Order: sequence, then structure tokens, then C-alpha cells
Amino acid sequence: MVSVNSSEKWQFWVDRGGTFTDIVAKSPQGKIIIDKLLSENPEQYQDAPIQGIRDILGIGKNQPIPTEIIGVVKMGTTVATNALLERKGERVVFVTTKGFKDALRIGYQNRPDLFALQITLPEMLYETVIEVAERYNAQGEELESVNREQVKQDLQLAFARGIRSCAIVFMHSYRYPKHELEVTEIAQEIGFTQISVSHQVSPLIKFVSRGDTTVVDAYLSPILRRYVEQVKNNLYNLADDSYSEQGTTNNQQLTKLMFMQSNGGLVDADLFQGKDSILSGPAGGVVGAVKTCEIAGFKKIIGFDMGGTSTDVSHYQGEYERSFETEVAGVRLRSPMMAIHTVAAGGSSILHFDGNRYRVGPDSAGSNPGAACYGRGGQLTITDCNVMVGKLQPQFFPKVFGKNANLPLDKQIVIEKFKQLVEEINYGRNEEQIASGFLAIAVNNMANAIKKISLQKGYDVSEYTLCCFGGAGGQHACLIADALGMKQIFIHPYAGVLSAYGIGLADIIIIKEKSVEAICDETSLNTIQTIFSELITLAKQELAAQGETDKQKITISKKVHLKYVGTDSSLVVDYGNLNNMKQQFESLHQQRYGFIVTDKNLIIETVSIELICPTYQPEVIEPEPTSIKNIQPQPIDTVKVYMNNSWQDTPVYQREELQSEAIINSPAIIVEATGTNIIEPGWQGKISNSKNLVLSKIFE
Amino acid sequence: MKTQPDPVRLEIFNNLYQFIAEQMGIVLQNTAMSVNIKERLDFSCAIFDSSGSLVANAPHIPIHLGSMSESVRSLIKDKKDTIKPGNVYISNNPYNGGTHLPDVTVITPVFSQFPKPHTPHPTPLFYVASRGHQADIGGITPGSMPPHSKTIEEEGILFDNFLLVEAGKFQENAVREILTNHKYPARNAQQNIADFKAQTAANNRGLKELQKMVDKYSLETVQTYMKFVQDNAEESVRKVIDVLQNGEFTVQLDNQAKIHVKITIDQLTRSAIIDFTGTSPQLDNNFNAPSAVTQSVVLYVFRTLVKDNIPLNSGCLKPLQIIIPEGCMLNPIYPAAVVAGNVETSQNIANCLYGALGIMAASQGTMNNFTFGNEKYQYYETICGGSGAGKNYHGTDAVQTQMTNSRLTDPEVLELRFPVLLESFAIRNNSGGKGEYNGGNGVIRKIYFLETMTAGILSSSRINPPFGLQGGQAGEVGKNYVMRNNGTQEQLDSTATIEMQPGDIFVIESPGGGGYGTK
Repeated sequence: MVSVNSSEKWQFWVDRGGTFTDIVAKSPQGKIIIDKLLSENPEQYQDAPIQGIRDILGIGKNQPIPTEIIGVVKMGTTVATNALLERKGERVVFVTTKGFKDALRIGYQNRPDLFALQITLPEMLYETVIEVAERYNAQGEELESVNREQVKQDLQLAFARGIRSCAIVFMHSYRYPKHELEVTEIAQEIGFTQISVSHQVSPLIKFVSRGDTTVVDAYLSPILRRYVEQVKNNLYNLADDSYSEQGTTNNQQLTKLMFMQSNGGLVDADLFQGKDSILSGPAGGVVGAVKTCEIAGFKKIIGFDMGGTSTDVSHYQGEYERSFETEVAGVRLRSPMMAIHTVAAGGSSILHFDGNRYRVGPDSAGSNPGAACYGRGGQLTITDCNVMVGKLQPQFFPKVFGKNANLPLDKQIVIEKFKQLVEEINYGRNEEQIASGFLAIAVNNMANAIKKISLQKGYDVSEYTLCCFGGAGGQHACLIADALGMKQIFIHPYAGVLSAYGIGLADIIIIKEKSVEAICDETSLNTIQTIFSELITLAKQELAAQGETDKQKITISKKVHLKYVGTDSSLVVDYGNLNNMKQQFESLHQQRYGFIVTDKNLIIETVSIELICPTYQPEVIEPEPTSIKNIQPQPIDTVKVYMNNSWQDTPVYQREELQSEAIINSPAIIVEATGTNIIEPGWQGKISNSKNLVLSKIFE
Repeated sequence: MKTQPDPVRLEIFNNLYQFIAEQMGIVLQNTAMSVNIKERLDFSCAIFDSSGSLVANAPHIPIHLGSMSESVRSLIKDKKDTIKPGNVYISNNPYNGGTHLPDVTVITPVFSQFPKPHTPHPTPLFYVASRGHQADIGGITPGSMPPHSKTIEEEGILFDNFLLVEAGKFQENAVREILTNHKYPARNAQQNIADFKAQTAANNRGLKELQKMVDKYSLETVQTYMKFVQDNAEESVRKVIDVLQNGEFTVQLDNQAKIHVKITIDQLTRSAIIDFTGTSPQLDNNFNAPSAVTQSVVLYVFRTLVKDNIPLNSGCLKPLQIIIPEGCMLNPIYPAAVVAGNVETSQNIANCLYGALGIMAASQGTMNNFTFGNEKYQYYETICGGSGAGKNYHGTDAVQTQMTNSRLTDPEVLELRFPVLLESFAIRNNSGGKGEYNGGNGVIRKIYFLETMTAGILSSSRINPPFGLQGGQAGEVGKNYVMRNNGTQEQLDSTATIEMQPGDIFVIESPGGGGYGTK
């Protein structure tokens, strides 16, 4: 047991992913402890994050968790994302304007796969639809008032069928919400427990994407509520049935529970909503990458989070980048989210040979059976290529593989399977050459994806630092950087659990937005000033509801989304006077599109405010490097690795043993508890004073 | 150089060529000014080898796929050794590799950066091209999709391998002259020119990337792998042909014209002859389709038969011999009108090919091109319908099929920008043909007009329904009608232009797909 310290308490930062739950704990003394456990292990525990907390605190199975020594638990979770992907959300009734019952199903009418004969569209999330006789036009005239009696009857019918969640989406309600409010009242009277209303969920123009967002919110919020309650029950030692509506117990006041949202900000558990939960974990990764890089002095970064099934790529140059309309699992979400580009390639991507060419993925071996080297009958994957060429060495992995999870990585099966491939391909290539070939293809695919987003946004990636994290990132970092002409790579000591670490460092962020759709002139500038103060009031109320009242800490930024009249692609500028905003817009437009238009008016599409309230300030500060001391580190082993078309004697270093300012020359392998880093020929590694690993390109 | 491709390089080059085309697409989308290109993504970019064969493309719109190659080949044939470094050409001539006038292609030849000395006439190593749909290219109606054009002149401005950039200089005045000096001139020449510049910029990106690739891997390697990726695609299609059966099919259009195809499979050489002999002669309306359209559809249909992510390039067409008699509606003679060929006839060619192969019942067989406007507003949309059922699967309701996949304007944006109300947009129940597998349902779209405007519909499958296959029933025919404010209703033909008054409702019921098999 840990002694109670009233001024400083434990903090737990958790990323509950699909396969693993990563935990970063900060002790009252400021010590960081890292833990990784399986997210699902029903024989052993009900909830992985809680079990992790018990493990770290050394609390037995039947003992209560001493919440008085825990200050805060911050969590990112894929619970809602999985429910969306597997279509296992709440039963929902979709309530909409008469004539629009199929509007979300038809959507924008395009098909996802151009060349599929059998056209498969994503399954709708709602179970049933109610059409309501009501109508506003785009100018806000009420063309038809709500037929309240009919709505009431229809909603009661849905309620009687056992549906408790409803999504209300009316035409033009983003601006004229009176009818939605009327129907909300009726739904409340009937007793619906989840009511998602479009003008509150996403107060922006575009019926289809706002509608989708509202339905997703109704579909996922109840799932999240139940998960939050489960965590609370376990954390606060409540019996499952003792959690009640008024349930603020003493325990709850002791430990704060917060969740990570898709927008990169934390929110109090009780206010966590379905529409904001989809990128909960990956957003933590971006925050982790940005905050650790900033401390280390890197201002322009490409976040590169390579996991088992996919790789998440992000871009940062001073401000979080957000996308305002994102499609996830066939659902259009109109809600600000971290701009994260996902490539369907990761360590578990399966290798294919179709008789003519090698291909990698997009299918994945997942965690079970996993890669061939896991010894559970899996197919060859990218991970196996790295085993084949010696970049992954079984002796440095725990014995958790095989059918009974007690064997080392199985190199033999990998060699056998590559032997078979040598015969099948029959091109005069040996096993390691074939493995390198597949690696080259995977690296190329990922590099192309990064190049593509950089081109789309008009920046030059070669000036950036590659911030590499996730389980498989360090194995490929140098190769990716080479393919992109990048000269510097940053690998944080917690790179293997950077999402969890980022969740710990994250701020409370509240974003409020409103559609304007008016010509940008003095009149509309007056209007948006009023809107800004409304939005700020709302945001402050929400902050207060989360128990944060310290006005000193908060910062508020005001943004205006501008576009040329007659176009749809808006750019975000800081709020200012007319000239100033026009200049910002034109310089962004020039950078991104290479031209500006002089004779077209600007339209204010949307205005938004972002309220930021920090929750944790990392005290680690990168000291200025003193003199360059070439400290020669000691390898723990030397192994053969196939790089640059030949087997090379490669020293292996244990990262935790490397001293500050140690220089590691290529080729080298640096192993650490949560990953393996490869220094390819042409690169050199250096350990900074804060134990960051920085790789630099020193020759071609 | 090996005669067999290295399987690693084959995949890497395949991805690189594709990626160059994608990069061109990004540049075009970014630098274009028109909503059509920037936001509706009605464009495609591609790279070609020295003979004009398609190597890789970034497809958004299926109809663009195969036809761009024809434009490049026509340029090579027409201009021969006058093609010089620094020149860029522009073309939309349906009688010389184009499809219809709004689809304008900009073609840039790519030369070596380091020409060998003493070669007075260097020849292009590659070509890059981008095609964008112009919102307006002149002609008798705004938007250049006239329902009743009789000649190509009525459809707008025609560029025939015109020199857009000469030795690095953009020929702005000459282009503006062509756009404006016409019986039915372009309505917004400035926007056309801006888009042509964006297309030129996109091509430039492709040119530079190809030159970089040559620097890195050598010209020989880049050219050899251009051939290998085509061989690879060719092999994928030959594998599919292996298992196909001979077939013959006729599709009747609403205007009584018919498309006829006979497909003969040669198992031995794993090739197919696709013969359109028997198709109606050239029409006096605009449903004629230039041969590039048919080539596009054939490429698309055979590509859909390959259930794998294969590269799409000219190799796919090598095993296919296409015969289209000159002077028939699928190979018309100047100055026949062609604007519906690309959007309507193309859908029916696709249905006809699937029918002949016995693979899939007809999809809606139209794009339901709906336009409305007056001096102040102009609007164009295509409307989805039912897809056909096939062996082991039902058709899909309310979805874009076959040669188009363009997106629809959001209803709130539509109502904000135009004086109309969307009265309803719903799935048209029971319109799909019944069968062991049912065809997909069409939609009902009702638009209420708030101002006086001219509306036009250019559609098919209003008289002849989308056919069923293997005993499956046909889908319901589509309907076009106007519900007048005074309670009367006016039925409209497949193609019609009508004056709308405030309070009138234009209704389009799109066709269902055909069923497959008997229940």
C-alpha cells in the first residue's frame, strides 16, 4: 500500500485500445510507472483500466480502491468506436422532417467502391423513423408548425416498442431550432433517456452530415454512459446496482474521472458524448506527440503512430489541426476532430503474392492469431519480415507467445514460411531479399500516404521532424524518413504508450461553433460578435459544470471559417477586423491552392470558439545541450541484420541503459520495454538529456 | 533488362504511377476555381506511355477512365513531330477522342530533361493529361447539357488539339477568342480559363514527378515497368475472360434506337471480340455516343469483373477487340449531337454488356440529368436509382450506378442557394424488379419551385424498363411529371424542357433495377 499524501495524489492516464490497455501512472512523488495489459480478459478481470490501477497500487482483488489517494483518472477509450464498427449501439428512433425519412440512407448517393458489382452500403444506425409534419425554409419562415399530437402518438409507439434513444433532425434547425426544441420536450415527457437534438449536437448547415452526427450521438451515448458507470462503480467501489441518479458519493468527490475526446481535449466523465468519442485514443496520441515534441524543441512535426492493423498520421505546426467533417465506418460526422489520416497498414498487415506482384494488406492478422512468429498459426505479416531480416530478435521479447502464451517469438516458423514463398515466387530471390521487398512496399505505401496529405495542405515535409510512436513505429522510422527526405526523427521514452501519456498531458478543451452563412462585412461582423459572446458563455458554463472555476488558467480563441461566395471549401482564420481576416484568408488560400480571387466576396460560413483549460503541466524541461561528449555506449549483444542488401553485424542496445548524450552509430538496434528501434545506415542516434532518442540523417 | 518483372518493383512502380496520377488530382482539386472540379470532383488525371496507352489514373468518374487514352492518341496522330517541349494541348472534340464538350482534356507531353545532342526532333517519353467537367462550355442552354440539341454546334465550343501553351506561353487571348467568338459562346470564359490553367498546373506536377522518377530509376526502367504494369492488368483481365461465355444482347432506348452487342470468347487465346454491329445508325438527337465512350464502358465493365484491386490501364483492353461500325450511334459522324451519349447512352451500353455476359440485370439505365435555372441561377444534378440484381445478390436501392458516382448537393445547401424547396427525397418502394434476387429500388425526388424558372430533364428508361435476367422481372420505368399549383398534372417525356411557375412541383421517379432469376 502507498501512503497517503494529501497535497500530491496519484494520477492515472489510460488508453484503453482494441487489443491493449496502456497505463501511465504518476506517483505522488512524481515517479512515472508504465503498465500494459490486455483490454479483454474476462477470466482475470472485468475492466482493464481498473485492473491496471489495482496492479500499480498493489491492491488485492477484494480490497476497495483507496480513491482518497487518487487525484484523477484520465482515460481514452475505443468502447464507442468498437460499438460503431460492429454496429452494436443503442436502439434509436430517427425523428425528422416529413419527406426526409430516407435522406440519411440515400445520403449524397455515391457508392463506396467504384468497381463492385454488388453495391454494399453501410448499415443505418437507427431502427425506425418518424416523419414529422413541420417545416422551416432556409430564410427562417415557419412554413408549417409541428403537429404535436401526431408526434406524441408516434413517439409513444416507439417508446412502447422499447426504444429509449431518439435523434431529432429537422431541416434548417441548425439556425431555426424552435421545432426541434418542441419535439424534444415531448420526447422528455414520454421518458426517452437519450435525446440527441441536431442543433445542439452539431449546429452547422448540411442536413445529411448533421443528421448522421445526431444519430451517431443517440446510438453511442448510452453505450458510453454505461461504460462510464461501470468504471465509476469499480473505481468508487459501488455495487453494480447501487449507482443511482443522484449518486454523488463521497468517493466521487475525491477522484476525478475524465475522458479524452476526438477533438484532443479532456471532458468530465458525465459530459462525455457519443459524437465526441470516436477518435478518443488516437487523439491522445497526437496530443502526446505534440506536447513531448514541443518540450524537446521541435516545432514542426509529422506524427507517425504505427500499430498492428493501421497507422495514424498527423501534422502539426503550432496549432492542433482539426477536420470538421469526417467519415468513419460509413457515417459522416460533422464535429471537430483531430485531423488524423489512417493508413490501412501496420505490423500485422498480411503479405500476399498474386503470381506477379507482392502486396501488403489491407487485411490484418490482428492480435489473434497475429503474425506467424506469434506461433498461433498466423500468416506471414510485416512483423515477420522484420523477424526474417533480424530486426526483431526473439531473445529480447518476453515469452508470451505460442498457444499457451509461454513461448518466445517463433523464428523457425517464419523462416519455413519464407522458404515456401521463395519457391512460390521463384525469381531467384532468397528469404531475406523477399522479406526486404515486402518491407519496401509497406514503407512506400506509408510514405506515399504522408506525402499525399502534405501535398493536399501545401507544406514541405522535408523540413519536419518525424515523431514516431506506437508499437511498430521505431522499426520503420528511418526507412519512412528516407522515403520522404526527412532528416530528423524523435522517439520519446514513452513512445510505446504515447497515447496514454498524451491523455495525461491533455487540456480540457471546449469547442463551440455556429453556422453563419453571411457575406463578410461590417454588419455580419457585429452579428458574430454577439455570437462569440453567446458561445463563450456556453463554454464557460460547461467548464463550470466540470468543476473547473479557475478563470486564471483558461484561454479562449475565436475562429472564423471563411470561403469565397459560391464555393464550399472554407479556411479557418483568427477573428480580427475585416482587413486582417481577409489577409489571413488570402495568405492561407495562396499557400494551399496557389491562387486568390480578387472579385469574389467572402462568406462567413461558421464561427467557433475554443476554450482551453490545462489540467497538467509536465515539469520536464529540456536543458540546453552542453558540450558534445561522445559517450560510447555498451551493446548488450551483437546480431546479424539484413540491411542495404547484405547481412551486417549490428550491436543491440538496451534503451533504458543508455546515458544522456550517448551517440549510437548505424547500424544498430535499440530495444526498449515497449518497442524496438532500428538505426539504418546513414543515420545516427543520440540520447538527449531528457532521455529522448533523436535520430539524424548524417550521410546519404 | 529482364523480360520478367521483378515482383517487388512491379508493385512499387504500380503504386508510384498511381501516386503520380493522384498527386496531379490533388493539385487540380486545389488549384481549380470551379465548384464542379473542386467540390463535386468531376475530374480525372492520368499518365500515359509514349504511344498514348493509359498507364495509371486516379479515377473519380468511371466514364473518364478509358476515354482519355483516345484523346492522347488522337493528339499523337494529329500533331506528330510538331509536339515540342513546353507545349500543352487542349481537346474536347468528340470526333477526335473526346466524349462530350463539357469534358475538356488538357494534355502535356513529357520530354527528357537532358535531350541527347543532335536530335532535332526529340519525341515525348510520356504524356500526362487531366480532364475536368466544365460547368459551362457554351451551347444553347446554360450548363451545356441541352436536352434537345441537334448538332454539335448547339452543344458549345469545340477544341481540337488546340495549342493551349506554346513553348511555355499560355495562349490566353487565343483561348478566350475561341470561347467567346461562337454562335453560342461560353457564359463564363474567365472561369474556363482558370480551370484550364489549373489543369495545366496539375499536368506540370505529373511531368515533374515522371522526370524525377527517370532520374532516380533510369528511363529504361521506368518505361519497361510501364509496359509491365500493363501486362499485369492484361493478365488479370485474361483470367476473367477464361471463365466467360459467349453472349448477345439488345437494349432498346426510349427513342426507339437500339444498342446491340455480340460477345465472342476465344478460350484458346483468352480474348474476346465485342461487336456492336447491329446497333442503330446515327440518331438525329443527342444520344449518339462517340467511340471513346463505348471504349470507356467496355473497360469499366471488364474491370468490375475482376474481383481484386488491380491497376486500371490500357492493358485491360488488350485482350478485348471492340468493333463499332462507323456511322452507327456509337460511332457517329460530325456534326451529330452527342451530349447525352456520355451520360445516358453510356449507362445503357453498360447494361447491354452485363446482359450479354449474363452477369447482372439492368441498373436504372439513366443518370436522370435534371437542370433548372434562369438568368440568375443555374443548377445541374444527376439522380440515383436502383442497381441491378445478379447471381447471388440483390440490387441496391437509391445509389449511383455504373458510369457515374457524382455526389448530390445537400438539401439545406440547395435550399439556401436556390429558390426551391425539396419537398421529399425517398426510396421508391416496389420499383425494383422481382426475382430470386430483387433489383434495387429507385427514388422519388420532388422539387417545389418558388420562382419562375426553366427546368429540363434528360433521362432514359421511361418507356423501356431496365431488364431482368434469368427470369427475373424488369424494374419499374421511371417517370417525369410536373404537379402544377392549380392541381393539374403534366406528364413529361424522357427528355423535356418546361417552364416552372411558383408553387409548381417537378417530380422525378427514377427507375428500379432489374431482378435476377425466378423466385
